[in-house]
Amino acid sequence: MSSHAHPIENPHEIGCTGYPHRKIIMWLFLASDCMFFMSLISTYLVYRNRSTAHPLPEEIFDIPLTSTSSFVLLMSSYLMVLTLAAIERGDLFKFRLWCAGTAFFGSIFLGFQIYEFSHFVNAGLTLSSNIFGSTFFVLTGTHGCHVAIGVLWLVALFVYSFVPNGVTPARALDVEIAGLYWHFVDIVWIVIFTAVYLMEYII
Amino acid sequence: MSEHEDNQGMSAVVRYTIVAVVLGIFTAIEVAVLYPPLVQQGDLFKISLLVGLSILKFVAVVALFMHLWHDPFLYTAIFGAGFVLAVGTMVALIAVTSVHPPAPGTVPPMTEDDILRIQDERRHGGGHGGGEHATPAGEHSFLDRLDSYQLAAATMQVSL
Repeated sequence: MSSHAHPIENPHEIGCTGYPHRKIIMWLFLASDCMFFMSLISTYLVYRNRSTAHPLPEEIFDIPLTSTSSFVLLMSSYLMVLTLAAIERGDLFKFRLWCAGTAFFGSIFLGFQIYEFSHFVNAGLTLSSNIFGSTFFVLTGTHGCHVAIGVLWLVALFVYSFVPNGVTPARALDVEIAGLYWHFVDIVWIVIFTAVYLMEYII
Repeated sequence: MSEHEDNQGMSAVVRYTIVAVVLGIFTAIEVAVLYPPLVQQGDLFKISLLVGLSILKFVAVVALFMHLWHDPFLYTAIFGAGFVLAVGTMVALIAVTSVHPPAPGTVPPMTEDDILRIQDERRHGGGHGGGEHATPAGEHSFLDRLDSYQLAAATMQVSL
């Protein structure tokens, strides 16, 4: 067993592989989601610089704003790993603190996204204005939906921690699986921030 | 909780904090590429720096925050298979659809007549079937005579 394994409450959790079912399924889901996001990123890159109508990316991107939101999401990933470490130690107070912090930072990121989208719409960029609008909003909108689902998941975990024996060290796998999803959302944004925002000013 | 477990927990927190600080620094460097003095460097340097830092951040989060480094290899294999398929598909798609623009001044601009001829040829299947702008029999159709860049440009003008 790995050095990161923690006790499993339900013995039926472990399958013929010797590893927890739910963790294997989450990794399978993340692998498929990886392919899903890569197809959206590929579509954006294929149609990059093919728009004939304005506005164009270099005219409306706000790099300082997006950099701040990227940093916020990165820090939320840090808080998520602290959340898992806290529940593995059995520190319920710290678990609730870091879990609420992760959800809060995720909400801040969503707020930045909503502000950015409304600014772009006011500037004339919509789903149907040009090919850049279509590919950009589908890609970042899908990512935003993933973040929103993650925030709801974390809020649910936070609320569930107040139920007697709701979140315990024996159930740390629940938190770990939520953490895997949240970290995946973060690494997708790492790729999107570089390929969509930063590369626009380089090539 | 025992003192040993406390120490292990605290060392994990310290480790995660160091990783988070390093990731923050990498993000700051990525943004700094767009401003002086890094912006004055060559494109190849800037692209390499951005791609390299993104890869490092990606690997750090996957290996350390998602615990793949410490977990059984099965999880790495599952995620790695999906990731390799994803990246391979992306590279193939970009390679297949990449169009190299011709040198400036070597390709005459598309006229409205050219676009109407393309629409006619597509509507009547191949160029000789009919229509007001059909190509006479014995000649290559207008679509056949376009190179890949002209065809891509014409497709965008016709369909967007």
